[in-house]
This record gives sequence, structure tokens and C-alpha cells, in this order.
Amino acid sequence: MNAGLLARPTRLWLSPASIIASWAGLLLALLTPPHGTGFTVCWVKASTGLPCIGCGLTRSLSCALRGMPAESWSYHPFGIPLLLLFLLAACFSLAPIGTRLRIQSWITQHSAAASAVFVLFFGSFMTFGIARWLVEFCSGGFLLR
Amino acid sequence: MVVLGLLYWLGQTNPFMKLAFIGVAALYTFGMHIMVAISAFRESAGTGLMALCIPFYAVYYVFKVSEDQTLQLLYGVAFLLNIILRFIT
Repeated sequence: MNAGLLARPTRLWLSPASIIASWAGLLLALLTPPHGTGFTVCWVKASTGLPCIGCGLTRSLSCALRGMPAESWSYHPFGIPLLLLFLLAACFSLAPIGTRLRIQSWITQHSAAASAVFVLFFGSFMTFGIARWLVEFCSGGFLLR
Repeated sequence: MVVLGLLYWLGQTNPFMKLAFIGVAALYTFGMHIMVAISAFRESAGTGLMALCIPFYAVYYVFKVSEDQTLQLLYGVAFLLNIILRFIT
């Protein structure tokens, strides 16, 4: 699967990097305890005391994978949709080549909708991260590091 | 960067300026974090998510995958700022 040969909407959703990210995300969710390991691996959080856009996502995925939706939501509201996305991408990577080509073709045929969903999903993801950071920043979160 | 340098210098003697330096540095770091995330998401959803979730993948992405030299320079400054912030207090 060569990323350069994929149409843009397909590349956005199902590039090799997306498949790797999906498996890595699922593995992290499986290995990480639901409430974290007690120390942060995010260097933005470690040095500024403020959460980055993705902070809490691994714990959220871990909780979602273990059937704890409320805890998952409290760590990061995008954990559950991302887990579903990861599972879909992982299933896609395991599907026979014919099925994969059909899915890619279907996404290419609906490229406008696929791109719109991408922009909407990741736009709201970024908006949430920025809003959360601003709330913490304005409440002096960087003083608590 | 000039503002940050000035605030850092003034912050050596003035606690308020030191606080201002920490605030501006945090703002700058987060701004860079957003720029890297947007750049990575433009590649693909997976690249963006890895830049956000996998520790230090963002550093690898900026310096090995991305060819944007402005981003590399600004991100390098942000990384240095974070090291300073880690040890300033």
C-alpha cells in the first residue's frame, strides 16, 4: 500500500501511517492501565504543567477498551470515537486485498464526504484541545507545574 | 523570540517578569504544538495522531519527515524553551 498512489481522502484515512497509528493506539490502550502509570510522558505537560491536545487520550482509549465509558469520557471525550476508528482501520488492514480495494474505491467515490468528515472530526478534536488548554492557562495552570 | 529573550533576562531579577516569561513560553510551546499537529494531520490522520499521542514522535516528524525548515527552526526553539522551563524553578 503506497501512500503516494492513494487518492487524498483515502490517504487521509487509510495511509500506512494511519494503519500503524491504529495498531500502536490499540496496543497502547491494551498495555496502559486505565488510570495511567502515574507519570506523564508528554513533554509539553511535563514542562508547562498544561495539557497538550492529546493529553489523556491513552488513558481514555484504555478505559474505552475495558468498557469504562464514563471514565473514558472524563479523560478525553474523543477516546471512544478514536477507539472505533482504530478498530476499523485495524480490521481494514487485515481484510483481503479485494475488500481493501473496494473500500478505497468507495472512499474515493465519496471523496467530498470523506474529506468533510475528516475536517469536522479533527477540527473538533483540535478545538477541544485548544479550549481545554485555554481554560487551564487562564486559571493559572502553568503556575502549578 | 526577542520578547522571550527579553523576558528571560528581566526575569532574572524580577519575579513578575519571570512569571510572564513562563506564561509566554507556555503559549509559544502550545502554539508550536498546534502547528505541528496541523502539519501532521495534513499528511494523514495517523501521522497527526502519532504526533499527538506517541511521545517524541512529533520531534521525529518535524526533523525527519517534514521538510518545512521554518517549522523545524520554530519547533527547535520550543523544545529548547521547554528544557529551560523544566529547570527554571
